[in-house]
Amino acid sequence: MAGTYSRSTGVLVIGGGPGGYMAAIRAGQLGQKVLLVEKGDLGGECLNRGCIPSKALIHASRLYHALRSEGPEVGVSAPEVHFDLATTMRWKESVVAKERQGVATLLKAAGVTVLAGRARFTGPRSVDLTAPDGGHERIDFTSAVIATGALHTTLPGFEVDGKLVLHAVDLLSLPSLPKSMLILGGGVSGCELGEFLARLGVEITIVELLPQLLPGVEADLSRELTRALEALSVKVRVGTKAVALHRGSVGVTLVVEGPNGSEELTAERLFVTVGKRADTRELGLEEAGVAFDAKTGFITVDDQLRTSQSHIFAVGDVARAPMLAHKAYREGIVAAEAIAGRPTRFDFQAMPAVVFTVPELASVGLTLADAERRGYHPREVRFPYAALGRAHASHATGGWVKVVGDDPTGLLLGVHAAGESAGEFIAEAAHAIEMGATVRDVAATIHPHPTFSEGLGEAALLWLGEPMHVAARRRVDDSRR
Amino acid sequence: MLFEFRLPDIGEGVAEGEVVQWFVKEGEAVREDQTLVSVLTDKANVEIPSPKTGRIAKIHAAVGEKVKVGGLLVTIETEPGATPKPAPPASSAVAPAPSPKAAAPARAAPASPPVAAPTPPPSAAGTGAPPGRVLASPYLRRLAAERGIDLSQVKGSGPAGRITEADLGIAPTPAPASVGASPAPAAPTPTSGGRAPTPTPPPAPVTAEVLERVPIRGIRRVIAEHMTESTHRAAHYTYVEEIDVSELVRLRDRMAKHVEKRGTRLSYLPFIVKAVVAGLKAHPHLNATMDDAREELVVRSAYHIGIAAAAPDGLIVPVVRNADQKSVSTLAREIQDLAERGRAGKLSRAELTGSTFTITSLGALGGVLATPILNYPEVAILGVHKIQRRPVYRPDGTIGPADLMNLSISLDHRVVDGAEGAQFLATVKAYLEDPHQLFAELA
Repeated sequence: MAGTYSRSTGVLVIGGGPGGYMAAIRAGQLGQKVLLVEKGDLGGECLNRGCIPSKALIHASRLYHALRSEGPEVGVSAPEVHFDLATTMRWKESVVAKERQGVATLLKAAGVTVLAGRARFTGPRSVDLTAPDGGHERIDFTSAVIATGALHTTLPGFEVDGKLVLHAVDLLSLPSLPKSMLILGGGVSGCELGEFLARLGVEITIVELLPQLLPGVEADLSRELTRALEALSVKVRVGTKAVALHRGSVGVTLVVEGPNGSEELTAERLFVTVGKRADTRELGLEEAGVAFDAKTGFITVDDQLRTSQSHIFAVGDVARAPMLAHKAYREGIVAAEAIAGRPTRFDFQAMPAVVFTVPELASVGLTLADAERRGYHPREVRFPYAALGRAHASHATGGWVKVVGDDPTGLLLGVHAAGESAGEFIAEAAHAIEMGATVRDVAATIHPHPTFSEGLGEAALLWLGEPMHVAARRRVDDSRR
Repeated sequence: MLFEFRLPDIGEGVAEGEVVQWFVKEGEAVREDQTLVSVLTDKANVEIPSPKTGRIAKIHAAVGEKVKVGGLLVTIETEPGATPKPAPPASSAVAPAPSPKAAAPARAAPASPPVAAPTPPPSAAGTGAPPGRVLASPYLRRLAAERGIDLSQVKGSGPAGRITEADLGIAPTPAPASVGASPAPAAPTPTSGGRAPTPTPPPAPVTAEVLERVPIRGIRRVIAEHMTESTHRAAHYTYVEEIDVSELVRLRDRMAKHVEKRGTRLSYLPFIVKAVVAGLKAHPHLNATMDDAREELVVRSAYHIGIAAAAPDGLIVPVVRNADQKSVSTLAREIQDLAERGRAGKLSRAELTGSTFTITSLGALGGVLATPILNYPEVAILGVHKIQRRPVYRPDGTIGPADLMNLSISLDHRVVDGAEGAQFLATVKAYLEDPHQLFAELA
């Protein structure tokens, strides 16, 4: 092969993760000529190394754990329950492969051309593509969407070696279960994967620098999770700093300093999960004239996801927090519509978020403290799962639904929940907030019985002072007088 | 009285911003809430409104300059007697609560939620709505964006100050009486012409702002579907050429005397048809139709020229068949006959189909330039504009009158590149500028 190949496209999408593939599909639907460049696997972090594989592993471990822990009480006994990690991993791989194929099919149906390789800007209208075989190709574009995602950050002295010290990627394809594992970082992935391993009998210790697990999440949600993890014999060390790591022949020793002084923690493995950073390396942003924040690494974008070069867009983790797949999805759609000249912007009232633990944690909208800072006069109530018939029938009475509303106007401001299926009915709350609903609107919506979603309806009634399934002091309604 | 306006705290940990654009100049008058300046932060472009009414005394930060929060942006000379009041903080629109990340492993850098579209602070005047949030459904927000309505300036009449369609002067979308309760759709009536039966939506209410609702039916619907299909499938581009038809005008005048004796009006169209046929012979790929299903260009051997014409119910395109084999006077007679019967609605289906190239002429109204939509699946359509007498430079440097006419040709760029389109029109131009050549094309 001699000479430099070149081609041109209307829209170039760099990165085939959630933000990138949505941008490509939408742009294709809108009649654009689209070329998508992906250096690894279609689907990005979410599909290959994040949301999807971790949910598959979590599902398997829950099934195993439920049979052992609650089975006998509800009359299901399976004295010989085995967990076979290799089979679970194979099943997880099949799930991921199916999803990945699905993305490829959707891209094809939208008329998107997919190329393997790494793209680097050589100017504001062109990139150099390095193919997996080392060949180069020049691609000229009219518009571009940067969707390169984020990279796991590393801590000096705690570098991942893939053997004793692991990343999430290593964890999601463990060849065998260690007896014990330390987890450095009590964020979402530390908690979800820590709980997954704890359910399978691995001794887990989670070390978190900040004063609570899931920093940034409401304290009561975090407390519910801490309690649940401790019930699985997980040791939780918050407000604790890792100061040194010794790598032995069969395990690691982590020296930490916490509220109670110094401590040496030992385990067979260490899982480091301390955050992510926008991946703009090797992108040639300077050549393209695209501005980014040197401190955070995020590419600067406006509400149409346009960068400082108005024909180049950035979506997903590379553009801004929060690093959520569903945020990236929407951003990809908005960028594609902006490219096609549609009136569009990234317009939302509330960003839902879910943590897939037991209890499941879900949140959308404002917390009480947020609402006060914004000048509302908020009030909140909590409705317990213990008052839901379905929770008893499903052997899942732990949890609650909290409703935050503005007292003078009755406006629904936020919903936060811990418990079974919280991540499902939180979508109803997100929709209500987007619609500008009042707490009364939610209370007046008929919720199907018997479902966990009734918890949201009941919490709204409780907020209004009209609870039906928790005892309230009897009072005469004199409002019609 | 001089008022110093400093970069307000835009929120979300923004420490500084870069001035992108000033919307005012020194010495200019400015009203309170008028947009002063656009500032780029690390999160978004924020437009900052003026806190005062007055005159811009001095701008302190040039475009491209970075200003820290609290840094001096502009000095405003306020009107005498204007009551000083604190500058309203530029509020960023609603941002979500700091929230747990979903399954994406690991937590992000310190969670700073994305700033949604920066909007000017809502006019707090009496809306009763809590600060910083536009209360409207996503559907309504999109509608407002499409119509360029700034919702932060709209007073909502719904619960908690929610904005409704009525608040925007938009008729509410008709909704079925109840969702999910006993759906009893009327049996769809089969319509003629093989169209798949589509349920007829209930009649939309006529409101004060609407004069009438004209149903798109019959020929109008066929035209609508045809045009939509054409614009969706073909990659249109248009190329325009100016033709000096002075010679053609003289020729037509002389020929008209003979032709009109036989009761036929002689327009310029027959000459243009002949020139087009000559051009098509030189560029056969324009005398063609697309077979999209097979991804093939079907190059045609016959020259059947469609002549777009206005009819009472809408545009029709009668076809002059085998135009290459007909004389100018025969063409004139046929075009006239087709047009007359077309207006009377008396053309057969065969006379309205089968063209290989289309000409659209607006006659005396013919304008300067058009971007005709292809008569899909054809790949070329020629728009004919009116002839105007205008002064031109002659080769010898003198200025004199000339009869000029523009031709606009739209082509399907999927199969006809710009060069070929241009060459075709150059051929047509050459024939029309020297119309005696056309006699060589006589059948």
